[in-house]
Amino acid sequence: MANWQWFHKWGSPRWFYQFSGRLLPWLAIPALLLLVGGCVWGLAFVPADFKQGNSFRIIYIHVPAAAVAMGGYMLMATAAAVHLIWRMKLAAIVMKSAAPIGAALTFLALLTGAVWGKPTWGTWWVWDARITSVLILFFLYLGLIALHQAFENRDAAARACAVLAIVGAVNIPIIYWSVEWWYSLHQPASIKFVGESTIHPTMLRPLMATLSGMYLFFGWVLLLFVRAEIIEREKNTRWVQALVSGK
Amino acid sequence: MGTSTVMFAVLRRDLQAALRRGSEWSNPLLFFLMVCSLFPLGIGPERQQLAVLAPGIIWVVALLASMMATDGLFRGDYDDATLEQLLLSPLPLYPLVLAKTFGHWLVSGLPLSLLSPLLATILQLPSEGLAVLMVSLLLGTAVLSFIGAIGAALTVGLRKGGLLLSLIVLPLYIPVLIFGSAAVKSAIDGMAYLPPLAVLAALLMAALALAPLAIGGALRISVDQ
Amino acid sequence: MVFANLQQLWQMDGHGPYVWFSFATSAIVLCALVFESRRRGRNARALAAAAARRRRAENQF
Repeated sequence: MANWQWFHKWGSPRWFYQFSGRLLPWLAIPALLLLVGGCVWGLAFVPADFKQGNSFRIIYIHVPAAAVAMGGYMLMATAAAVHLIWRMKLAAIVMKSAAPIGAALTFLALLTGAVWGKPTWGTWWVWDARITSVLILFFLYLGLIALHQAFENRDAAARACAVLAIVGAVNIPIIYWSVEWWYSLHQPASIKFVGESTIHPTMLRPLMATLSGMYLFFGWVLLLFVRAEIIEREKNTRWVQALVSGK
Repeated sequence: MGTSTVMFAVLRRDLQAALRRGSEWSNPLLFFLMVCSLFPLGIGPERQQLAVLAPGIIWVVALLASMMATDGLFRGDYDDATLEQLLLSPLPLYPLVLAKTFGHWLVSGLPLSLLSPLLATILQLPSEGLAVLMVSLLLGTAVLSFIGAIGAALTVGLRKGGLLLSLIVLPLYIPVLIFGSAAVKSAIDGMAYLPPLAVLAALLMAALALAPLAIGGALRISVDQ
Repeated sequence: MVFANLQQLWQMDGHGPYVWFSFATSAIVLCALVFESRRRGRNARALAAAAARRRRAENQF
């Protein structure tokens, strides 16, 4: 079955370790260049928003953090499904490794959102639909991490978390939609202007840079976590011992 | 034995056990009653203010009470290895899980919903909202039972499951809370309360179709470890 | 640069503290992620190296 060869290859931690080692610089360097470059661009070389003033520059970190946290959850749920269906160990490692990164990014999105809210809305926290959704995403990540830590058996932890991650992924669209609906029911008139303020193309370009930079950064750090976990799990195998003794 | 025979057997066994140990169904009810009466003490006795907050309070407390009841859903069966027997039996898991969850709703969600008009009166909820409150709780607590059962199945093998269960399950409860309390508020304000109720019913249908699969998978994991 | 000088870039018409705080904490959190992942990698390698030493010692007897 030549078609399935790639699948066995991806299931092999050793192969993945070697493959991802070659991939690392191709993720790390563009990620850092795009993130740093996009931030400098957005901080100093883009005109201020005529409604929000300079505080709008926070979106160059807030939006990528929120978007990648969301994408990270979907990646985690996909890995969870792969693990449950094909019992692929590597998928369990990816799922476990994505959780702390996603939680950190949702935390960042919440923090920068709150800091942006103070000069824009005059208060640190507003129960606006988007921020509430990010908060719930944060809770979902924390629940997964807590569940994983509660198990002593590593395989049971991975499978239980996989079920929870899939349940969460099925629920996320429902949660987001219900929060949108809830917000439309209670929306105060005073903060409607935020939705209307159209973003100018010159402001959009640095955002594209930091957004793609954040995706690459996620991939890079995910690989670092996955590689650490592979070494830890395979520490008694010959190839790992040869690897650590070799240098 | 046919599937429906086993479903009824499981259901009857659970109901009899719940009736024998009265605490299983009465404790969540007492919790519901006590926490609801804490709110006026914390907020103040003004009628107007309580009337505004009542739908949200009742819904949040009902949600917590339902969650606390879920913790024991599979624990007894897990401890005396009945669960393992059920999983080993050649019967499909889906109807078994359905029977267990339905039985749980009968002793937790149903009495809670039936008691809710009393609490609503204590909390000064306008009478226009009473019927809708009860219907929304009947539909909503059923969804909560299904979602809670997923969490209970995942944590049943763990020694300290209780608090962990709430961390897992509470975020997933949010849509039910939103539409349940919105239905009551709409009824009080004289607006259309059927759409949110219809959404609750739709959520129930989705939970009915999908949740038993997740519960069954989670139970297998908990028993296998 | 849209700001006349560094002083203005720092202050951003009064929004400076908010903007710079956001970017500074973001930099800290992202760096912490990288360091944490590398720390785990180092720990795992140390464990594997210890296991390898044990195995070599056993083989000598």
